[in-house]
Amino acid sequence: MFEAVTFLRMFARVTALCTLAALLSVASSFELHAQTSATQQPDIDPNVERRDIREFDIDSENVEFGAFVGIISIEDFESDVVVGARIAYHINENLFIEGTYAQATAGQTSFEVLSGGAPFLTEEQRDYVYYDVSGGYNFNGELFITDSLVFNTDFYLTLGAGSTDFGGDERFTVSAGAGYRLLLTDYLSVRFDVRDHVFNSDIIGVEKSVHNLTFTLSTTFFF
Amino acid sequence: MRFMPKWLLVLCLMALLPISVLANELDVVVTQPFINVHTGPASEYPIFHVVAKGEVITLQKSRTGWYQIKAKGPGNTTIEGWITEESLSATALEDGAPLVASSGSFEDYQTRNWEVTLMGGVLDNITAMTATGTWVWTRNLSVDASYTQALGDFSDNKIWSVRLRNTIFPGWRVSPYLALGTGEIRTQPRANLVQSGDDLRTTAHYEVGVGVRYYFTRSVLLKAEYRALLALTDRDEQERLDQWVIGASVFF
Repeated sequence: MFEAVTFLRMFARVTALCTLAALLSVASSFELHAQTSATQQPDIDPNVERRDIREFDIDSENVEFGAFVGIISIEDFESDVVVGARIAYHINENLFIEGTYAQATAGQTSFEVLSGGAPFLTEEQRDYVYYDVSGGYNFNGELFITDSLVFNTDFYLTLGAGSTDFGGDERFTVSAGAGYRLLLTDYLSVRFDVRDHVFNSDIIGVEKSVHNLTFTLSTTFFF
Repeated sequence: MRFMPKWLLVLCLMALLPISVLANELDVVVTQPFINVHTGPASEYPIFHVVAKGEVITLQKSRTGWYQIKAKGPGNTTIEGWITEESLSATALEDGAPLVASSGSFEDYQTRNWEVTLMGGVLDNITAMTATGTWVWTRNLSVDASYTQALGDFSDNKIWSVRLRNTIFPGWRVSPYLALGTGEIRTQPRANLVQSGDDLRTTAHYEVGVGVRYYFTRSVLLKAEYRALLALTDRDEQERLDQWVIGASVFF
């Protein structure tokens, strides 16, 4: 009888231990499963790290500005020194838009000089002031002075319209010209420019188209 | 000879400022196999150097669609040349972040603040030229201040005006616009027509405008416009002027 009781107790203990062990193993496997699911990456991670996109601001040099000096031949009124300024905006490597403002003083007509009579114009009316806005086209090139001394250059053509204030009137003026730009550095250039300014004038009597040629030398900066 | 106007003198002095000190440089790494380096800022200039993947180049400045760079040349030398704006997409910042350049694209047009416009055409059969400065207020609305000079055989007309312009479809590359404004017309008869030589007439005016603007290329818009101007004269009849113009704008 004693043996039977002892056996039953032992059986109960062993069963309890086995159940506990089984429970523990089940629990631990659950825990393990839980761990593996935590380490697995989901297909879409909602916590995207913000990428750093910065819009940078490099100095852009599309505007060219400068002053010029040269000779203007004013039809019927001798030649004079012309001084002015120009500002250009470069749209792309070939096209640019340019504004010019300049002034000179007209001399006397041959008739005024030879006859010694009354002058056609007052001193104030002899001020020759013009502005124009032109479109230009660059033909890019290089100037090789030696093998290692090379300058970027361009030959350009311009066509524009503007106004000339001369002889007491302002006249609609068409201008056309060509020039050569030599870039001494990336931002400093020297330009030689020839331009014809045409407008209708009746200052010396009959109305006619007058051609006023300018030959100028400019220094310009790109900024 | 008349003295140079003051503003011209100021502009000349401004031009003499040391402009190069404003440069703002940036180091980037080449991420594609290679980038061609040209001797000048145009496609015609020859390629004299190639920067390879992994090399660091320094962006110095831009001109139209080109960037001036500095890079390590053969041996211990440093080369300076120009790369296209497109090849910037083959580079990244040194921490790997991509590069975004502000280049006057249509997207940049949407965020512009200013426009400068030059137009030419006819004002009642007289050649007329117009210059306009624009402040962009909202996506649709902008404020124009414009100056027109119309030089005829009998008179010289100068017109100042301020107007409000409504771009109807700002998100479209081609969009119509409407404008409403007011200003002043100054008419000076030709010197040979008037003995006194000084018979300046000033008249206030209202104007309406209808036009089309087209986003053409980097930072440039093309415009065509019709304006009807109503001059408020002292006479019994008001005078109407018609102006037809075409031109181009640059935006900033």
